[in-house]
Amino acid sequence: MTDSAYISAFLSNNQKAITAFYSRYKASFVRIIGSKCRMFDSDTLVDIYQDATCRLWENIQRGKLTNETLTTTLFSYLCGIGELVAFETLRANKEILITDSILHNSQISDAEVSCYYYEKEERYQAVRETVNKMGKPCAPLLLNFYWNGYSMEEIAQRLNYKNADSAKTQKNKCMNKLKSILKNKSL
Amino acid sequence: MNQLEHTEWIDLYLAGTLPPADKMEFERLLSDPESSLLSEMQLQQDIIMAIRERGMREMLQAEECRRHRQKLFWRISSVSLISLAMAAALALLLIIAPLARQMFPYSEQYAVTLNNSQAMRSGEITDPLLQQLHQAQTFITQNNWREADRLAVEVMKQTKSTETEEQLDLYHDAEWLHAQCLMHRNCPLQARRLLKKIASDNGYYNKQAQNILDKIK
Repeated sequence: MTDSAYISAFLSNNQKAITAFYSRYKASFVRIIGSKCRMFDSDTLVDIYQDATCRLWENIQRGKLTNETLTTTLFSYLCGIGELVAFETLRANKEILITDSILHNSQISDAEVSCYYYEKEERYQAVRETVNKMGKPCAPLLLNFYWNGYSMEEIAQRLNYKNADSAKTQKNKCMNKLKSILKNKSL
Repeated sequence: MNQLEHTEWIDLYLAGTLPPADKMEFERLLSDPESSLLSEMQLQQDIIMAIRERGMREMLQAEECRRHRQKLFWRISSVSLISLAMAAALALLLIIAPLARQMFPYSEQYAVTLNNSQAMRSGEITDPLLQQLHQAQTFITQNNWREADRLAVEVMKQTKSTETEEQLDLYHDAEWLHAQCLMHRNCPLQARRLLKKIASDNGYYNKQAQNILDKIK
């Protein structure tokens, strides 16, 4: 698959293609980031890779990265994100043994770096935290609808709802519950 | 519009499936400064993004688990294969090799003691099956046990279903020759099985077969 096809796949949440992308570049990514930051063990490098892939997806979803704005290969872009995630991980663990030079050695320009920076806006962080805490019945329902892209009929069958309408009502209730929690947090 | 309808309308609007008339009304409300619809839509967009991000992370995590399981499976498989190979090698060393070593000298000793040997030696052989057996014995004297075995098996096949006494004798001769060839060609387990069969039959060679079996114990 070409970079352009992968970008389209990330944009349309094509899970098969995203998984293929993830598998294809994992070994190279871990080798490159591992050689730059030798203090990371293999588990941490895999975590960094997952985080970088999620941020790549997020940048594509938010329109920060498109076929037109991509000036290097998608893998180089991913490595750029990976270096930033690695840097943040070190900083968070107060183990900064490397300096900001990691950013200057990056294969991407400063302008692009600013695009990769993780959205640390309070609002989205709070939304993410609330969504990640969500359990049954809302989590499977909303994930099946918004992530897997199933229709309400399919969701009703999979999750044993009486019919599509009751699944839809429950979905909207879950969404409103999330909204009210977040509104109470003054978001 | 109540709250539930808001959520539904925003979903439809974001998916681009809101009917045109409703879309106009929705966009009018979005641009209305008195309405909170715009901020609600932004919040819903963030929630959807966060749900998809969670889905994405769970999918990558599942992929990682799948790869881990696959790696573990191959690791266990390779360990099992190595163990199996080692067990086979050990069996070869402890059971098969000594058995084959014991059998080998008997094969040369007993291969020439065929019931029909006298008839073969008289020279005038007209029966093609007897000729084949004679040829097999010639191969043995030339140390070509593989070819001798092939001919013995051939004669066994051709005489297996016949009931005349001569042909039955030929079958027993060929079977005996086959057993000797197996003993000589380091197939001790097959040879032992065949010797047991010969020993249990009421054939010409049952005592000799039993004799070999007693010796190799």
